[in-house]
Amino acid sequence: MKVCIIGNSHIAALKLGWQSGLANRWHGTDLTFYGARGGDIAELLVQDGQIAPKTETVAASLRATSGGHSMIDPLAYDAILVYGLCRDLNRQVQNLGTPYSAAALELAQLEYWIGSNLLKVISAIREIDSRPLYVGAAPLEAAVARGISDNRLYAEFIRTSNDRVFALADAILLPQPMQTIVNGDATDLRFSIGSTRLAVGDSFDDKRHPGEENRHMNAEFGALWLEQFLKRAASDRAVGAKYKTGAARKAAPEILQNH
Amino acid sequence: MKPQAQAAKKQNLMNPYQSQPVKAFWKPAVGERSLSNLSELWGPKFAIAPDSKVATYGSCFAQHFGQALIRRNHHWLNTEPAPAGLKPEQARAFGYNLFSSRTGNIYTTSLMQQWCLWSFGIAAPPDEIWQRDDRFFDPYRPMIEPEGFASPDELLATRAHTFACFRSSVEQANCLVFTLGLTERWGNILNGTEYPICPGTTAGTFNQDQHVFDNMDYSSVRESLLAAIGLMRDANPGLNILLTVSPVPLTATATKQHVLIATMHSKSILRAVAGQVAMELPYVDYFPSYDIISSPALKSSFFAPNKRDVTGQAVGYVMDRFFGAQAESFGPFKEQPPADHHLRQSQIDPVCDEEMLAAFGADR
Repeated sequence: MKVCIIGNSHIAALKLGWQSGLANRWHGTDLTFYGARGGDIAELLVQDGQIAPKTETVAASLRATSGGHSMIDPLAYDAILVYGLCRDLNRQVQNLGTPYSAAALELAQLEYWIGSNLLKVISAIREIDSRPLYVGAAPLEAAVARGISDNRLYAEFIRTSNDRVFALADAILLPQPMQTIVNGDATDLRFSIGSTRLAVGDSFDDKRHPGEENRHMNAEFGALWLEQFLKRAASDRAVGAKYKTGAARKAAPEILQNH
Repeated sequence: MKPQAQAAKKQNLMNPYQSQPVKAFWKPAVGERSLSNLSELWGPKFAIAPDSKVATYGSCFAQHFGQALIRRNHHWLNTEPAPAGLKPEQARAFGYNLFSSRTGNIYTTSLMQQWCLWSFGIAAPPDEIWQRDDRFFDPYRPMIEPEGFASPDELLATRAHTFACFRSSVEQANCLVFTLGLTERWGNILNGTEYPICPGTTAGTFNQDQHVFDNMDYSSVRESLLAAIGLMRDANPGLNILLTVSPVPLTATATKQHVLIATMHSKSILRAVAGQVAMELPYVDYFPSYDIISSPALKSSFFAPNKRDVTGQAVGYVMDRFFGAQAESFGPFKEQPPADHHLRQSQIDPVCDEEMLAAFGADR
């Protein structure tokens, strides 16, 4: 199975997780990472049936992370994962625990995703490819665990995001592994210890994040996330999961055409 | 002999005015000055430093006060923030970030008293809920949910949350700014409650057997204001209260008077009560935004062409006087780091329930 992973700095954890031993357990699975730091990865355009960088900086990052490719050809892969590209997910989960009206919550959720770079990248892919597309949000910010975690609000947020947003783009938002969540809306602090910067070919490559950094996760988290995703993608592929292929842009004019 | 006269005699003056400062005389203090040179318009009783927690409630004009505090990096207390993700204009449409909690406009002193009674658990609101098709509206906050609530339960849950947030804002605040807006009010004679706006305008159905109009007089405005202040001070004995009066004229009157005359009547009562209460209570002050904006000396230059809306220039001028007077009385305050940017708007158009009266006034 050939898998394409497109994302920002958060894919560093996935790559390190893959290299930490996961690759040995997934023979026959080939992962290619396309990454750039911050919002740079959203600086993409569609060109000649491929996804091309808008700037030389992004091109250099794509080459450094993918092993030499500065263009992304979605059709060359069996599955595509778009990962990271959003922030402050904790606050979205916390919204659901506050007595807001359903209308206000739904609007806040839509605005959150419309304002994220995830939809920009999905939109670019959907101009070329209508096959399986998986989405992983940036991890919940890390915190110290306080007792048993009730993850129902997080699960509800993922479910409603799929219903309201990602289903319209024939994409599926995957949750982070439930065992990594604490306090219902945070990632266990142990998964952020030792997180490193995404290697894009400069002097910050693989450097440790500062001590107070709690948004990026480490290789252990990456391995857990990636394994959960690979199982899902392999299972979908085995059963020939039917995605609503075709003109996703037509199906989701308000969501995708904003990008 | 009165003390002033005694003092004058002691100083061997012809009359007591001779010892008055320049600001006491119209010609040098107003007549010969340009707008930008008017000074000493207000002498604050207490400091409102950048780190003072300030809650704001009241009529539409109170929204300007909160925004001005944010723009100056002061600590505007917002105990009921909007859901994360909403754009500022969406949050405002849902009644968030307008006042320190999601009360909607509190136009009258008696409505403020009602909010205090309900929020502090001294009284409970009735079961009344308004319905239009399959959506539900809060009679006491009819405009905070643009399309109405999905169910009575949702309405009641959000209202209970606002009570808690209102209470929290009073308990946490160092200063609460309350802008008095109206004396005209609508109530329900069956349950004895007051609505912020006449039923049948923004929501609900007008029922002449239940819904009654009242124009509060000086003593009832004063009585309910003192009661509200008392309730808030019980919850927070250190709370200072800054009263202002909205300079925005009435959109419409339910009295038989011309709306201009009704406006002057109403504002005069509010101004008199606010000034009197501020003179009587050491923890209550009056900031003369109404006086500044409405003064004939300023030739109404602070109003928009509709002669009702206050211009951004007027708000800026008034708030410059506010912060200037604070600095003159208590010294310049230390610069604060920028506050929450998502609440900051360069120019706000206040959300004003009362304006709906114009829309529902039978083509007037």
